[in-house]
Amino acid sequence: MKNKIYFFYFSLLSLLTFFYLFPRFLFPLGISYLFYLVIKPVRVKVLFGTMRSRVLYTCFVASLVALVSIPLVGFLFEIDDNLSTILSQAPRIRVLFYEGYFKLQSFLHLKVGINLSSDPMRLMASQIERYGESLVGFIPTLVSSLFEWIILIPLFSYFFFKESEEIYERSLQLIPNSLFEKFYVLTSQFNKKFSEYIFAKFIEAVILGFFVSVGLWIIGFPHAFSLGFFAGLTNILPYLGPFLGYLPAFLIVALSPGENIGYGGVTLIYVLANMIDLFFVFPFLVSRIVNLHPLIVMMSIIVGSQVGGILGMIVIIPVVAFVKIMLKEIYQDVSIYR
Amino acid sequence: MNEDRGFNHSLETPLLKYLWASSPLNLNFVPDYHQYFKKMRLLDSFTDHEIRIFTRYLRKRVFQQDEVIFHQGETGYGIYFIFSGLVTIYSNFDEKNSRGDEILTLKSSEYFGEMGLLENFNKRTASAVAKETTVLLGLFKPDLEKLLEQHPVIGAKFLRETALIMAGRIGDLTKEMMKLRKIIVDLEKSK
Repeated sequence: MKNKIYFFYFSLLSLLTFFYLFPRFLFPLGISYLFYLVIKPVRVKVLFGTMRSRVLYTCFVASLVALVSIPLVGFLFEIDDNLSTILSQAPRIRVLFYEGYFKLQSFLHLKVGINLSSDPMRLMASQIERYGESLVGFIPTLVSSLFEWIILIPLFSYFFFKESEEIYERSLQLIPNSLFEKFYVLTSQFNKKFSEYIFAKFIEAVILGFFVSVGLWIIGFPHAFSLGFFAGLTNILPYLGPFLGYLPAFLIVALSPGENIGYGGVTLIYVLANMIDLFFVFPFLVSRIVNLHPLIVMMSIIVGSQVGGILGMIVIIPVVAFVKIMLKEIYQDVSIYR
Repeated sequence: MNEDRGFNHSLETPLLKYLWASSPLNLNFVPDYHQYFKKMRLLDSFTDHEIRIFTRYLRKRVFQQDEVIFHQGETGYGIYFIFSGLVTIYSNFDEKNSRGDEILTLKSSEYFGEMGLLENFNKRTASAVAKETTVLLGLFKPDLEKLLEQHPVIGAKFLRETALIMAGRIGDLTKEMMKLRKIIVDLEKSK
């Protein structure tokens, strides 16, 4: 009995050590798992029906991976192609910010009599420049890593699709009897919560991306579909996402003053798309899964970004929701009568 | 060779698989959980096919002699069916000395812990200990949820049967309580 417990902890430790020593696997593996979770509800319906052969499995997974990765690759290449344009616009962005700030400074001085210092603006501008430089340096690395991920993600996804349940069943056999009941129920709850959340966020992102793309396309805004894709992608991040998604469109308008594109129309499209999301999509899809206080959500996002960057920001919410369930269980266990 | 493969593949349908698995002509046929559950009162109303589906959601766990299955006061999440072996139910069980107040011993084809499956944050009211090497088949909350999602009719049937047994027990308890109340009232009157 004891040997089984030692073996279980040893296996768990080995797995964690492996990911600690080879973090390069972690991102494609994480993305493949997220991808598997997005498709899992469809997978259950489709694959348990007629599609059982290896060829059909492969075609199914390949087409789904292509469905997601092609727009993503296109989007990144578009950014890469326009990198020089973005860089040449950097001084204009700085001037734009300075002009805006000086206008605010003189307005407050004239109307209210408050003198704003120029230091915060300088500090902010230098911070933005530093972020910009690191982003520009990051994009070529990202594009080169993308080629590695293009091979690894479909491969991992394929095995997740084909064998995840068998692996899970086998790993359950390793769990000692004394831990089994609790471990099994808690991991099942976590998997359920996590997959439901990721699936709901994916649907939400697709809906928002669609509305933004179509809206921008109707008013004849440049790069409508890339911007829609970006808005959908950033929408996965709670609270911060809508603003991040709007930023590229805002910059395009700001940098092309003579091209007859106003802030009003673009902002309205983003606001409308986010309102549809907020009032019709979010309450039905996401909020019933994650019942957390907004303050906890905000704090979790900060912690998530510190620990795991963008991926951390995405996965932290269902993780915290699961921690809440676990704390409830622990509380119930502590408050037992014996 | 390829043609053979194609022929076999085309036969791989659930109905044919089921008929083949239940056929006496199948030489690979081994008595499985299905045969075991056919004898169980809890699944009386289940057809053979329904039992086969139901058994897919069970988890086999092997317990050694004197191994504790669950402790009194622990949160319970599922029901256990005894496939083979013996299980003793104790109250106030002390694991160090392997002693406690023995309530009853259950054998193959019996089950225990059903309240854990039905109640939220259920606390086990007694400890269960394997008296010899015992094979248990557990059905836990996530399995029941999955069964209800994927085969709602079978899930509902199982819940109905469990509810009927629970209702019977509540009826017995109510009768016992009435008897006890009568005894208390008589005692108070005699004072």
